[in-house]
Amino acid sequence: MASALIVVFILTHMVGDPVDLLLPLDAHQEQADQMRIALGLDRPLWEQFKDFASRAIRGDFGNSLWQRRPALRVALESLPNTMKLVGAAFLLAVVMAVPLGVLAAVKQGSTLDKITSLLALQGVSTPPFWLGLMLMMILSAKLHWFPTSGMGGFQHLVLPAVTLAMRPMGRIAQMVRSAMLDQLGELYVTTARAKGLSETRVVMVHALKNAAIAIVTMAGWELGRLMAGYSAVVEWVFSWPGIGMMVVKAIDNWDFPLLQATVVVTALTISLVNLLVDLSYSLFDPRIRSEN
Amino acid sequence: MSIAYRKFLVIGLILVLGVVMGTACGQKATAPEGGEKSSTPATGKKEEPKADKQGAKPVPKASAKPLVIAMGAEPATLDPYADNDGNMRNATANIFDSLVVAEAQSFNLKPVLATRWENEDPTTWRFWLRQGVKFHNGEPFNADAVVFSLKRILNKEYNSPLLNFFDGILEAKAVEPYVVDIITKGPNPLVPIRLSWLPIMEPKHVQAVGADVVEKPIGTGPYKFKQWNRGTQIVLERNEDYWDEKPEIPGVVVKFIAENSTRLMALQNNEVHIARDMSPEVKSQMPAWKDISGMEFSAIRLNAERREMKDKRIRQAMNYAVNKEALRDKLFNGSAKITPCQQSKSAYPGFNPDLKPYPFDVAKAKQLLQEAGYKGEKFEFVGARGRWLKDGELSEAVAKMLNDAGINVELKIPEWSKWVETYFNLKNPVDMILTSNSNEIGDQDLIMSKFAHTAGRSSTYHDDVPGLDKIIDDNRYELNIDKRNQVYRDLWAQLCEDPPWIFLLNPDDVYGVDPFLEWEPRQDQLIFVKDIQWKS
Repeated sequence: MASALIVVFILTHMVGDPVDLLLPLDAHQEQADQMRIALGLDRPLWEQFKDFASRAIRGDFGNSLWQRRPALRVALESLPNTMKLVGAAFLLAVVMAVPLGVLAAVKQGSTLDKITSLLALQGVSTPPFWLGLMLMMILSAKLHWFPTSGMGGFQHLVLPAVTLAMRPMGRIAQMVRSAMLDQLGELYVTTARAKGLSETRVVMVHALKNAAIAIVTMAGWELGRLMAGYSAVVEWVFSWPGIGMMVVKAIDNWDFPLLQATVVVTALTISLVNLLVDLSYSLFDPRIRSEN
Repeated sequence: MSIAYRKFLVIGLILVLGVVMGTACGQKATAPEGGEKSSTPATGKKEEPKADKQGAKPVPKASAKPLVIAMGAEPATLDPYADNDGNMRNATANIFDSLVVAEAQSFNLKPVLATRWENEDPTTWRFWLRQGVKFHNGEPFNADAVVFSLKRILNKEYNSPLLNFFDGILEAKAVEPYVVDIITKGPNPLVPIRLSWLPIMEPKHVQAVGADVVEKPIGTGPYKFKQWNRGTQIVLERNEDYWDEKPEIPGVVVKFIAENSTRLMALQNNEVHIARDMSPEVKSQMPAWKDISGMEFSAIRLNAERREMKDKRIRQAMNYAVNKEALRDKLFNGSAKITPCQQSKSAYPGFNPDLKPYPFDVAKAKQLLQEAGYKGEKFEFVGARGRWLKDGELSEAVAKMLNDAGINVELKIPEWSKWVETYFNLKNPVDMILTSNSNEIGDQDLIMSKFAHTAGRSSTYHDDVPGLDKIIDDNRYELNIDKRNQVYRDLWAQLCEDPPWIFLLNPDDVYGVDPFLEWEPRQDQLIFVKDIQWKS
């Protein structure tokens, strides 16, 4: 924790004189001096760090320089918006990827398998920035089906969620397919078939359940990546007021308290997601369950 | 235990998903749809504009829709003194009135909350105020509000970024309930135009809400603040008790759309009616557009004191070597004016109409270099990228043109914080640096004091060019406007002949607009919605 604070402090104080960056270029010298005092930048670096560290530990990052409100409040305000977008995108990705992956594995080598692989590859390799603008160009600017940007009703959620879902969808589908192929080759599957169980039951209950740990791990990882980075680009393109957008704006405005707050909030959210994923393993693997 | 635990976990996961979906869908009902009147956004967006386009049904006055303005960045505050931000002013210029306002394309003043004003004595300007005007909270507007507002913006501790528009103003005194005196340090000829940058705030309200003034603006303007959906939009509604003619448009929505392509498509999708800061290349893709010569002047600041550059012929050669026409036509698609050898344009008092841009003449440049004995010494040129319209391309093009004329220029484009550091480093000034200067109050002194006076924070000169500092200082307080302007005309002629800059362009502001809007842009980028109408 201490080292994290030191790194954050040094990084945010390395950008040059923040006062010159924050004031308009034609500001007077006395305005700059006044601001330097107001921000405490005239004090020795050691004192500044002591102050920063003791407040950061208590969750006080100071006021956002850009919005002039508590930085943590600004960061927390935008977090639910990102969760909404990421939640929708993730759900969409899983709902599309799992059936596709399972079908592709069962009908390995078929046209369906090839289409799935192509779709997955396309999803993984299309830059969300480009995809978002293309969807917007066709579905909003040409066909007028959806609003281009902003947050509001369900209508506003569709384009950004679809854009954001493509990457995790591709990767999860690939993962589901290969995990299922592994399981379908196992002896217990042959045994189950020999016992005369229906193919649906063999695939959906026996094999899928055993493949689930790998799938959930991958999906959880994708969820973390959605929160931590992919969403920023999509939020930018669609003017979605989430925490990724806030990070970009914090950097744009040289707002180091806000940057610190957004980074810490994002990191905590990802830790929480990872914890949930770890806990969910016990649903699929009895060996992980507590013996108690 | 294990079964109970398992159940608990399943329920927990379902709950988490439920909450995510719930917030996603629940938003639908509560979402503030400031921009659209219809209940279903999709059909509203599809059909309303179509009716417009066919022109079959003129928009009835009573049901005129709110105006949606899109801009690139969200303002940090709606306290009009806390930022010098054109995006913020999309909202605040409609919420607050000032005493006076400049005309759309000049610095001639029109009365707003002041009805007339005159110079009582060299250090006093007297303003007569409009009577019967009320703030949005019902409080009356009077001299006390002016005194309070001026005191607030001049407060050193408050440290307003607008402070340098109020240079030399000491205080305001209420003489009578509707007469106010502005006291200045010395003679100050530009007090009225300076006060056009002072939106009048309501004293009791500001004191009562404290720090919350940031999101609770109360003015006397034609529109009242309604709500601010952080990250998305600011919504204003018509002030039905406005002191002047009631505006036709019933509301204003200011949307924040950072990505330029998205702003363009929002315009194509009829979600917005005015899109600010559009790139000139996309003009053909917009339903309609307007442009106006802006207030930014790009120039390259030269270190006129470096040994090789002390000779003015080198600096003249640099001006001859740059093909400004090509920059204007190829880089800015024609949406720019060539700076006429001064960082000023005809709308500004003190503009020198006799000066012409340095023509593009490589032969002349080479001849001057030879005369000055230039032997290929290297000049370091610091460009910028991502700060002003096409700044990176401009830096690269100019560097190439200078190289082509035989001037050894090495271009570096650092990130912004490094640029700022270089810009203010006058102890060891860089040879050349790309700048863009704006002049919102049309006062030549603003440019002269900052860039040509040795005391300027980003001046070209470290040592006084004989007499220059004194001329600038004296003329700042010259009350005889004609005489004052003549001195500036002469100064510009001097700075054109012995140029401390490579003069470049004055780019236009390009707006994307709804073709059914009757609106003309202003050079100061303010958008007064009360003056806008829907075409019938």
